Amino acid sequence: MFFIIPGPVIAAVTFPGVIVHEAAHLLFCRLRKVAVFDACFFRFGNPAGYVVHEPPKDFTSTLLICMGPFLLNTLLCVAICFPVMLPREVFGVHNGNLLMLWLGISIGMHAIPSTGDVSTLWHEGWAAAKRGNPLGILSLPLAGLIALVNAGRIIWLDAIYGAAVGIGLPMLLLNWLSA
Amino acid sequence: MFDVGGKILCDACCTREVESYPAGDVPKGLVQPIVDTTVCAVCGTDSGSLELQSVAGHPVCDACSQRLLHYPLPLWVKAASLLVAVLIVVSLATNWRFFQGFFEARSAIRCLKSDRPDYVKADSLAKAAARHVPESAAVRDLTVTAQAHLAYFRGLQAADKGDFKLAAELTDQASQAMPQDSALRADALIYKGLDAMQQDHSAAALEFFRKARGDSNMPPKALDALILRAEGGAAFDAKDYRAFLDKALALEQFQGEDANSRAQVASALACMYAQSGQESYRTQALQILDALPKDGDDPRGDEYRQRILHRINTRTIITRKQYLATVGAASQPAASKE
Repeated sequence: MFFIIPGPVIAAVTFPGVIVHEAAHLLFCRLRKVAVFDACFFRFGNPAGYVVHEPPKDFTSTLLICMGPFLLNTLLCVAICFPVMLPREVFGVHNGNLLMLWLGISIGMHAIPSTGDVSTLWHEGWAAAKRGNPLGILSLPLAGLIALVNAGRIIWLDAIYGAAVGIGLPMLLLNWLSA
Repeated sequence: MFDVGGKILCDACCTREVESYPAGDVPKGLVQPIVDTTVCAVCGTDSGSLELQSVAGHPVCDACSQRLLHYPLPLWVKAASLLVAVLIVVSLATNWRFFQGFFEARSAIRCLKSDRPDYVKADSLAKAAARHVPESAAVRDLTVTAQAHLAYFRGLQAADKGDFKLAAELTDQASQAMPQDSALRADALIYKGLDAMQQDHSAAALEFFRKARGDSNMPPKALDALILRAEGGAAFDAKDYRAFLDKALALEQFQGEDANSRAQVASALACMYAQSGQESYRTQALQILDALPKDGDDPRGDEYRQRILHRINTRTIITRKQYLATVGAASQPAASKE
């Protein structure tokens, strides 16, 4: 059974993820030398954060800016949760690191690019695909998949992703290493 | 400034002009903004006649361009990033012992499960893991298992050297550490039996061997041979030489052309000769002894041969201890270490 909690409430509870998500967009804009006009890292509203930037000059930049949060949030989620999961999973030692687990999963939950990101990725990807850009072609199914996951937020797919990366992945990795 | 239908108007006049049209009837493309490419769209700085670079279609001065391209992270975001980085480092540092324990325990298990197990290394790795994660019951169990394997391994080494007393002690330690392993318990019993045999306590050895039956790692046929040998020894101790001969013959039949079992038949025949004086027993015993290989490197085998000959020559049956204390000590001081 799934129950609906308003997006702003979820964003407030998992605010570190929103901040990291927007920071990732901004960092990739800076990395790709794309001008940023405005940025909000967290607010109580919809959207909970945003980065306004000029249209990137090439599709690689578009792809990186759109997918930046996916990379950074996922990486941070693993880095934060793994050291906490190891004592629990392998040694059964619960050393009270629930704060770290919350932080990690909050960040992991916001790894999925937003609907705005998907829309940009889809349109720019389509245009790049028409020009024969292989990245553009590859980005189309990716954009479709992300759109599906975004639609799945209503059934907590973003939270499931965060838990899968923060809890499931370390468990899987540790079980594999232990085998 | 705006171009409104060919007229250049300021912001206020442009608004008035647009409002003069009926609502919803403003022609498309009526208003076009006039961009002065020498004035920065962000800070409004007029660069005179110098045309500014375009960022997203807007003229922007160098300072503003740098600011847009390197949009600064607010201080609180920087502080939060630093806090997260510190939290990750602290979390890694405080949980580092679990990483160490995990990899040590993993290596210890690999050492134990390897085709060529390294019990010494497994034991030291398991102990190191237990030092790093003392609160883990799983690691404690692993340490006990590794210790037990090491004790068992050292027991095997001791048994190879013929020190069954030490082998029994070590295997017993291993068995106590892993009480669920019935094969280990059985092996400890076998070593105890072999030690008892060395001490000429065949009846006690027989008890140990019988208890070990069914659980031991030893092939059943080898254990049956040990039982036959112990039964023969027990019969000898009980001075039941007929039974001793029967068991020796059964052992010989069981083991085939084995020098030890043939020597035991000779020993039993010598006992029968000593007891009854029947020449046929003596002849058979001597025939067997003659046929046995004479190995100068086996002092215990030579001593056994001498004891049988002594029994035939004197028609007295004495135990090995008695033999060593009297005859053996005088004739062959270097023959036995006991």
